Amino acid sequence: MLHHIRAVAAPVIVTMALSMAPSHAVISHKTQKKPVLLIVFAASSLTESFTSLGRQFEQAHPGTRIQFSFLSSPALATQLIEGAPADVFASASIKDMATVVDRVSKSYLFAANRVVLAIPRANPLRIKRVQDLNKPNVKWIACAHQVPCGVAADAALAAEGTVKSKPISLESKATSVVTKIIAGEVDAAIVYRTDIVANRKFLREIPFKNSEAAITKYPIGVVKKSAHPALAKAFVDLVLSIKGLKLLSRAGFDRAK
Amino acid sequence: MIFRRIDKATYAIATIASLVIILPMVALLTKVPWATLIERLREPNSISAIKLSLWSSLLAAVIVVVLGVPLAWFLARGSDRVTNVLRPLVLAPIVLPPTVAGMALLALLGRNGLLGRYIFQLTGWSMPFTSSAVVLVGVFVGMPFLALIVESTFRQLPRDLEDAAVTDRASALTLFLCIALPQSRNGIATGALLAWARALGEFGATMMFAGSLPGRTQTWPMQVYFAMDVDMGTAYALSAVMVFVAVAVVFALRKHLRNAFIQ
Repeated sequence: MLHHIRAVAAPVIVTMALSMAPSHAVISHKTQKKPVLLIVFAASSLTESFTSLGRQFEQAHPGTRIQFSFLSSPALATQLIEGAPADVFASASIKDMATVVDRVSKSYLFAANRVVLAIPRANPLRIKRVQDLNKPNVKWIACAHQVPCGVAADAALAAEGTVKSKPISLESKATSVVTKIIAGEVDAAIVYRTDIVANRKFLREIPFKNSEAAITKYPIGVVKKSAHPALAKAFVDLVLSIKGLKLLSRAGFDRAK
Repeated sequence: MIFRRIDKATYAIATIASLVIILPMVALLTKVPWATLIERLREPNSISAIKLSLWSSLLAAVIVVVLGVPLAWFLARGSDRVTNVLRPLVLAPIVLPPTVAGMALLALLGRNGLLGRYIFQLTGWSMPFTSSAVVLVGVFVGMPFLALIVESTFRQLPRDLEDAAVTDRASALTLFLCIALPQSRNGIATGALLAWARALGEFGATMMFAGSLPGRTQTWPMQVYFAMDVDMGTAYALSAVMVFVAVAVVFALRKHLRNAFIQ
């Protein structure tokens, strides 16, 4: 009996061994000097902007490598509370920064973002206004209530007051919503304006009437237990610099007032 | 005096091995806010997630048995040339990361998927973000476990009974239904249990393919994930019940489990 299970499992084990091979190759590849690793926890809506800021930072600080973790702000905050090793935390809401107030030294507001209704360029269902979400065939999604893009979406919808239909999924983070509307799995989605700017080829935006309600603000700070506090501060400074703010503004972020 | 047959090193390692598995579950139980357990489980999102997970995983297990047992019979008695190719393919989901399973199902049944495209054009319906997507994920990840166990069981059946039936001109269908199936109860029960457990526990593929909406596609494990960011206590409460369910099921079926592997 066991013998047979082994026979069946054999190809499976071979597959596992093969899939592990490349990672060994990477590990054995020796670099001359071990680079300093700076770990940056950032809200998923910062993926594009921070990735390019990170590249600039690595060029300006040779021997430093930035490792990003892009997830929802509350997920990152939970990880910080559980002691995850991070040097910088950039949240998409003031609330999620507040939950880690004893883990992060002084935080600075560096950007604001607003949610809008995203529709595909093709827009076969002819969605023109926010209340078109009520049309019977329209399938739309948004972020979950507990993540910043969901909080902003809820507030924007409440202020709008005309949408009676329900989303067909509440996604765990902003980028999951964006990939699903771009993949064409849904007809509309509530995303950040920055997601529209980054995907103009595929998406068009319909703004909410009350843009004030649709806003969320982004704080950033150095994690107190950072192994490289000076470098971490340097990255925060880059984000807050004219160069950093310009890049964020080009990406569609507003100034945080 | 079986104990005396175990040397001290083995005994020590077995103890460590057991602790690696048991300690985290014990630790989990120490974190559960017992005083508020019931009200945390009665939160609407908790109830709907538990209900959805139970019915969708059970339905997935039923589908897995209906489809997977004949598959296992084919793998056990079919021509080697075909089964040697088919077997690694249908068992692959055992090693596939759930995220890859999610991508694969989207690639097939998403609105722009290989098949999903046509289904959507014809009917305006697409599977992602529906409860049926949750069930299909369960079938996809669970089926290989049943196929693996049940094929092994079929291969262990005594050949003389089958040969006698063939001599008496029993049809191939009678052979399968009246000879093979009744003798393989333990294997089928075990395979169904493992498939059910796998479907119940799936998280990544479900979130990618089915999305997450309370009441429709937000499953029990997904609710643990979301609750963790809001209220650790609720996440621990939901996890604790899952541990009880898992231990209870394995305990209840311990005889079947043992018999399926040792005959």
